[in-house]
Amino acid sequence: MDDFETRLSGLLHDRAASARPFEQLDSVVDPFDEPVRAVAGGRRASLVGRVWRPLVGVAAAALLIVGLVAINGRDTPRSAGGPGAGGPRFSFVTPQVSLTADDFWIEVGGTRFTSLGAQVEVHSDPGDASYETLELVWREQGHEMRLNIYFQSDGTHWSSDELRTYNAQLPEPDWVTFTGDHFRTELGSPWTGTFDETATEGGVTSHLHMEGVRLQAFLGFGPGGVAVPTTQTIVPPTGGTLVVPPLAADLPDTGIAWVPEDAMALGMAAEVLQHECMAAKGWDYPLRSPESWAAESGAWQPDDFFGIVGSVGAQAYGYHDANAKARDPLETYAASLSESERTRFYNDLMPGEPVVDITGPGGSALAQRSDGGCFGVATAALNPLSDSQEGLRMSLQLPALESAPALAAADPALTAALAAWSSCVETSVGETAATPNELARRYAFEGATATAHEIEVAVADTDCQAAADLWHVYHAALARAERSLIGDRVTDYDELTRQRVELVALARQLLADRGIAVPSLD
Amino acid sequence: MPAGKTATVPSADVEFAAFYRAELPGQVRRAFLMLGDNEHANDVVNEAMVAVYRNWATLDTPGAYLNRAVLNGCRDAGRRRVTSVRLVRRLAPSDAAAAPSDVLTDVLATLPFNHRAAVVLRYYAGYTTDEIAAALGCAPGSVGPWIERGLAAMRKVL
Repeated sequence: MDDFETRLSGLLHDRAASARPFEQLDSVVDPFDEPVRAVAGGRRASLVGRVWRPLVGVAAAALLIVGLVAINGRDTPRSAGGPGAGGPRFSFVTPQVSLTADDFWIEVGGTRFTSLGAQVEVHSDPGDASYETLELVWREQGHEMRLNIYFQSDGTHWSSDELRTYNAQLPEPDWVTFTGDHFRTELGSPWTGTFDETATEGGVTSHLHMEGVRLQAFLGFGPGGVAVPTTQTIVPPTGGTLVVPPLAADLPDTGIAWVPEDAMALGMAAEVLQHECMAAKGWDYPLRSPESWAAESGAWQPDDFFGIVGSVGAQAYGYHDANAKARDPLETYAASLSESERTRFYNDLMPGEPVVDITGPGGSALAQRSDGGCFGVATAALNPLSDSQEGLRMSLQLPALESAPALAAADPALTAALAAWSSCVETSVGETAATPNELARRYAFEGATATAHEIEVAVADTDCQAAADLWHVYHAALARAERSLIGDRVTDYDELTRQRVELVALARQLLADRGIAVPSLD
Repeated sequence: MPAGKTATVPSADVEFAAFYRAELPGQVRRAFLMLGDNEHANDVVNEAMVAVYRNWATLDTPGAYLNRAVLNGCRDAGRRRVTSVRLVRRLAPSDAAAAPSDVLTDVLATLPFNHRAAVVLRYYAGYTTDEIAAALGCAPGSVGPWIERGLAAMRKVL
């Protein structure tokens, strides 16, 4: 290696060291299978049925609650979805459950686990109106530690009949179970106080201490079990009230996340423009069809909020990932070229230079994009809207919005739409699921391709999503949450939406001029 | 519960768990270099792990299978991202000198996938030409030019 190569190797190693692997073993293995750790640990047979259900929920909730990882700092504690400095020291929030505490530890086998400084995975099994969980996982002092709390509701009150911690035994930890009637409180209200109990199981004693606790389960339900009504204020899981600034009448309430159909229209337009430019340079590769775009745009991804979108993909692939099967004609074409031709092809498409800055509202550069070749030509046709809205989007990636997904998931409108969807799929195909993602995972890992039954369920799923207007409700809930949290940047936030409306209209017009219709995902 | 699994200690699952934990950090770091995004890297690797888990009983060399699955996932993820956004994010503001690691991320993102993967596999993972070819499913003769192209682009800015 020459000096540059040696330096490059060092840079790569330094850069790679900043990656943060997230262990998701339970989500990787089939969610309906026994968990490796629990079985290998010799857990009691009587617990098998009880553990099975939460694990399904964990798998679904892990996907539902995107990025909900609490990092409890050692010196300057942070909360996940909770208040900032001056608030409770510990905060674990999901769309279903909010737990904050001033002090929190588990002492087991002579070791005290506090979660301070650890990345805590926070999940809930969303369950139903009578059952849900809060589940925490972190690593500390060479051990994996877990706390699971199981909640139940009788329609007027909520409580917990069981809590569990890990016992910190190596090499395979097992559970220590706390039983009894805990936290009994009226629906819609938090339980406050101190929890300090010990339990012994398998000769190991666990001591769970939570002080200054504010705990509320069944966040989607108010007094009497009635779903919380929609208002233009938001009651966050951690208490208080957030006001949603009024939205201009001509703006859709879509939020920062791209609506799938809009993203598809923009992608299609960019692809067509690049294709025309490349054709003028003598490269003759086929375009993806609108049907292929629809199938791929709605395909199930494990990190998506709701699972699959649109009946086209459902009909074609069920819950099996369409993106994994679809072949990008551009890549296929490039692969068919000789090496020298392929190099020239990619140079014509997107050479490394020149690059241009993407700037935010203040004019500061936030990113760069390639501006050469046919990619540059295509982008120019969509600019200045394309770069401007992207600069706005980047400038709005604010820490204040980190709790928006959890806040949106607790939104009563979204809760109601999910309930309508759930009822619809049960009536249509006899499937009982709290979220589309939970239903998707039931099939996504079975076999290499979709069965006829899976496709029937998937189509019913997407039809029910359309009937419940689920994607619109989701984006509206997310937009409400984001707008309530963004403070004085709400003007920029709405300007982003306004520019996107114009950008997507431009993309659709470019496609319409060429006789290409953007397919519907409904 | 899939056929063949019982409620007794599932040795295959224990083996997979050990494999998962041993491979996860390195694979995520490699994917991170190729994608420039920690969440995407974790998603790709865990999706690839799903494929490995599903085929665990039939795989003679799960590590090689995982390598290919992660690379394919990075290729797909990169393509989807290029299609929809096509932006190279720079972490440092432009009025400050960009850190070498940020420039590295930028320039890696501008490379065609095969060039980027070949560079990462050679200079981060230490793969030989034949190993890179096997991982990327190409002829060994393709690898050298990809690395040369990648290095040429990187020498301009690093």
